[in-house]
Amino acid sequence: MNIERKKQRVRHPVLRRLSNACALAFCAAVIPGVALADQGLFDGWEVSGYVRAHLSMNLQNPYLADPANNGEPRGNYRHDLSMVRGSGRLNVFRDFGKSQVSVVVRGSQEYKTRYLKAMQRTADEYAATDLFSNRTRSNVRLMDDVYNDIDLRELWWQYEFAPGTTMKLGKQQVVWGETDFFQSMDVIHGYDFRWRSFLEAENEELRKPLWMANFITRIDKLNGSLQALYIPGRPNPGHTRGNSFDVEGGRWANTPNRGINFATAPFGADVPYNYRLDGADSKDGSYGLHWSGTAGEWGYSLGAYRGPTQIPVINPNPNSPLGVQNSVTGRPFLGAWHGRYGSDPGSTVGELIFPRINVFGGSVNRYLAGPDVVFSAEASYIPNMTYNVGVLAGEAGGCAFFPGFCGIVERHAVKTMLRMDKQVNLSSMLKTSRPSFLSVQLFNTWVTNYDRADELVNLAGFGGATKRNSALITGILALNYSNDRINPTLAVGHDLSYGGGFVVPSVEFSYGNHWRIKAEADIFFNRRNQKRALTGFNDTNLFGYFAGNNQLALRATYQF
Amino acid sequence: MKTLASAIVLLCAGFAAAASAAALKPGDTVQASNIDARQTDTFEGHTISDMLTDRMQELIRKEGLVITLAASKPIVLGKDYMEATKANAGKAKYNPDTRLVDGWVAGIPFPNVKADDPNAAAKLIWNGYYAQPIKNIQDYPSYAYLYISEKTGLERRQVWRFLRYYMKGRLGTDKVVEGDGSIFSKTLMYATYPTDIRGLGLFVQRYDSPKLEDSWVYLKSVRRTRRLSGGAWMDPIGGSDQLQDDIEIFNAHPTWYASYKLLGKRWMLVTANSTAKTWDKSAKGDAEFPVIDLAHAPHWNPVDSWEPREVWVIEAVTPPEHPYSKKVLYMDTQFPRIYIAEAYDKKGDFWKWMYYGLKTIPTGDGDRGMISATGFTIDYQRRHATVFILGGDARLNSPGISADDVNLQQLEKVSH
Repeated sequence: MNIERKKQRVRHPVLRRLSNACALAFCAAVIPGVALADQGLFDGWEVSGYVRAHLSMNLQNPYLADPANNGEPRGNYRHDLSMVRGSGRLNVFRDFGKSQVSVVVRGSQEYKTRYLKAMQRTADEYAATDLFSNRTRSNVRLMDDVYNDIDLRELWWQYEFAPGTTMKLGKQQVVWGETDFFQSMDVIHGYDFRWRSFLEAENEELRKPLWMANFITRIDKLNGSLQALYIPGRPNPGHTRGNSFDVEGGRWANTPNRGINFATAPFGADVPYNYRLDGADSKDGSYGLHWSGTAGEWGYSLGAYRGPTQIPVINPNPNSPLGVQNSVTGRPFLGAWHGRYGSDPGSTVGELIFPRINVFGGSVNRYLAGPDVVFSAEASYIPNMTYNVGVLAGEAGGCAFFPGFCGIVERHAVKTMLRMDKQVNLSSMLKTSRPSFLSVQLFNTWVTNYDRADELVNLAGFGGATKRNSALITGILALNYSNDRINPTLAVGHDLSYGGGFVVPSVEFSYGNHWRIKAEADIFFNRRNQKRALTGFNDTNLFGYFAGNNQLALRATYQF
Repeated sequence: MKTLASAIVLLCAGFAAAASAAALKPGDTVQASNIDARQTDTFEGHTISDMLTDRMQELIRKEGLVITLAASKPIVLGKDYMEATKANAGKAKYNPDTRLVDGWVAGIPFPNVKADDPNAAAKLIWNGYYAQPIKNIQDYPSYAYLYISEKTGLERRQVWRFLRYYMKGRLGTDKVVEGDGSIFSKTLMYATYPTDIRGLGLFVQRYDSPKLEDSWVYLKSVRRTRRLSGGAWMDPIGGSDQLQDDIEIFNAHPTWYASYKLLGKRWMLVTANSTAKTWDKSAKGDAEFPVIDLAHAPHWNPVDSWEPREVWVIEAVTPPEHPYSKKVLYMDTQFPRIYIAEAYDKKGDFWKWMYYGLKTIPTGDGDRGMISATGFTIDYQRRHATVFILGGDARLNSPGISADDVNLQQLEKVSH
């Protein structure tokens, strides 16, 4: 069985990797350091970092099922702490002239709150309902496997071997495109949305860095630079690729799936990750080519990428022990993707896979002096993007117990973004100390060869049907007071196609050089959401997944 | 007889005053405790009261500013700078209709501005725009922005790296213009401290035309480059008290301002040869920045040496959307650098005082150029100041830097 199971608790492997990383860093330091013997090996290193505490508290009573009580709410968790997290980060950098070395390590540890204990208990109890084994608990320990972590975030060595031509080798982050909040050309890395969803403004903290070779050469005659990336498969384990959504049943699991771990799901409806399926094999390398430059008034970029998709799809088990069938809507059951299924057919109903895709796209930006705005646009074309199909759940005559389990189809998708940034002077109205940053963005996904009869779903497990075009609008307004010591920000979003949205007001206080305190409210609203686990599947879409997740969050940082 | 008696009394009084007026020496100070007594004192032949603007008198009396006199020294400008000014004399023409300058090549475009020239003020501003005595590359490995409050003193600091490359008016080279002539300068800067802004980088391209600048920011926290508004030239720099337009006191294309007026020529006490140690990186606390009186309220007064220089006084009237109504600038008559300025709000009330401590240093190619050792922007309405402190490692015309090293493609690479 060629399955790389979901990320196991890997403290020892992590430490081993860290040791290797340190050895590499030492080598990287020594090689260029030979030429700088007069400076000394230990001179010139720049050290920075932070120690940080995160707290969040539920403003609603989020639904958490009680398996022993037919999925009724387990308790009232309003005003419970959903996160008590401490983290520390150390950045070490040295510039040797022709080359640079950077090492970034981050460690995080959480306190197991009553709410998290209840989620783990639900996950364990649901896992124990397996009809096909005698297991007694979930195979995921939320604290150890999801929240507590020590991570080598970056370890790279950059060398300029010709003027304007550099090679950057090692673990790093590369971002393409312009889009905020969503991913269009930003396809190189996945994000870990499990501990803070999408809400951490500094998304470098959520991005999953990768080991890669990153070659950049400046072509001055064309006012641009060409970047070539190679991301080898073997040094980058499957769990480091694509987005990590909370399918472990933690605090950011889609409502009503808190307490449901897909890999050890209720009644044995297990859906583990499979990173090794042919066509979705994480051991295959990824490649990217990117050009960015300027032409007259315009800044622009072009990119092409081949690698795993960011959003996993569920490959249904054609021999599911819970049975499969054609949907009563006429949507036939398609079987496994390309006839391939890699997980244990006797104990799983599907597997989460990251099919390899091609992405082609580009972006432009320009300052328009007349209206005094910065205009940006981005578009990406993804031929044969994978979608799950089947809007009905088994209870309503669908292919399998869950919606989206009729199989996987490949359709062409075009993602576009239009954005306007403007400095607006609100100082007379809001008494700000300087003009405020306003950004409004429209993001659209168009399935070019859309066919309603396909019954594309936005996310397997939910009955929300994908439309030919779906659009979201977002906005950011950042205010500044008292010489930027008090910085309120308002982020809003609205799903124009499926309804719902978010409002995130926050304020950050800067005290001196070291202390930064941020308070935030995360408010979500939706048109429809699924009320109970495993039943009542309906037309739930993006912001329905966040139902019950309203919260207050506080972040205190001491930086050095 | 009565008239004669009156004349004798007045004459005696005059002799008495002259007898009490002293010739001050280098090292003597003018401060709140002695300013009244020293109004008629002289220094290098100039009366103290004549060398202090009304605003400086007020700052000395009420705000704790202490002026320490230093013997004036001739300012030696760059050889290539002076040669280019001489070689290109007369080529630059100011067009009052377009408010633009045609024919400028390098050096000071209008080296002999006459006070009675109706376009004198505009020409002086163009001199400052085109030909500050810097040379071709400003290479500052570190400079600090200090945020100072009257109540609490030094609040916080930022440390940045700065690199500017001039594409036109290049000195000491046959290639006076690089590129197609449309770009005047390219600037790359990025923050190195504190951690939350470390890696924040800016690339700014300034044109030799009224066109607004193109600028981009690299946000390390999201690892992405973003285009910025060119209209930000009159906005504050981050949370500072300084507008983009206030960098080195005047940082705008001359046509962006509504008009200029020459108010006159006078002698003034300024810091033309800064002698203070600006930044002692080995020291802690207030002692780290000896050039500022951080220990005493209002915590933002400069501590440097002041000498008499002859300056032009220019009134620069802002466009309607600008936060200021006008700036009054004090520019050296020998070369286009501004030492001091006053900024007024829309109601015409005094708002900010800007003071720059200048000095010349050897350039990387053996010539000389001028730098701003310090730059103070003090907001007397909000009682807050931002002080620019240049590190001791500042360089001009560093060898080995080309125009291609200062471009958008470098932004992400250098921001770490």
